[in-house]
Amino acid sequence: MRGEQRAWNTLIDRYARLVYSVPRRYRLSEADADDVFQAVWISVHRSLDSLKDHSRLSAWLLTTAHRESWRVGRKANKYPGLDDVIANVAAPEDDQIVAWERQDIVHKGLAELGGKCEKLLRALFLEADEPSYEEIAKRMGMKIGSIGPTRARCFEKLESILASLGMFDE
Amino acid sequence: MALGKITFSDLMAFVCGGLDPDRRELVKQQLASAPEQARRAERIRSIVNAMRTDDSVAPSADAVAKAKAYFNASARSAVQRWWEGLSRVAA
Repeated sequence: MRGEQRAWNTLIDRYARLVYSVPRRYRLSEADADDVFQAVWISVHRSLDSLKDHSRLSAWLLTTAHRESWRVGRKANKYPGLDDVIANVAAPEDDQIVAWERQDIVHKGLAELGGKCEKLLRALFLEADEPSYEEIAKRMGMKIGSIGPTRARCFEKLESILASLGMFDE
Repeated sequence: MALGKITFSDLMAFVCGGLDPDRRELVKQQLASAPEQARRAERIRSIVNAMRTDDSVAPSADAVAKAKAYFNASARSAVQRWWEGLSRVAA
């Protein structure tokens, strides 16, 4: 049982961001997004025996989170635009699933990359306020001139990690 | 101007818009006849796009802890149900 709990925890750690992001993208409140998040994991738990195809798990989780977002959102009765945001209740569009999966894989890749490289790439590509090279150099104790070459070196490592995580698989 | 071998820095700068116009044109021409490098440029573009359009949100630690605890609680209730069933049979 302890081993199963560990596996369950690992599963949640691996896919928590992927699942939670769905209701937030549909503009559900934090409380309602939390409800969706819990409902998805209960659903996973009930379906463990039938979830054999691991390669499709993230798509299954996204679809389940999508449907739960619609259900929780409708029940809350405070999201007037929900039917427009979730046009097809059955599932998100395929290209949307691919885009969300890719974002999730990139986060996993960055976490695996770690250290200065992770910090630099997050600052350069993920921070909403897009800090300048001067700001990044100051924050990270780097010379401005070294940001470009370091960016390329770190990005090349990230590309290799993402390939191993299956980001470019057809 | 001879470009020589396309480096990863060239590809990154090509995708992210950091090359001067002349060099950009040279890289573009070279990629047209180097499918492997062109594929790599597309990989870089897909990573950059994934990051630039990222709108994912991490759940709170409390939400994660609650989801993890669900397994333990449901496992316990299964054991409890099993025990209650056994008690009924024994009675």
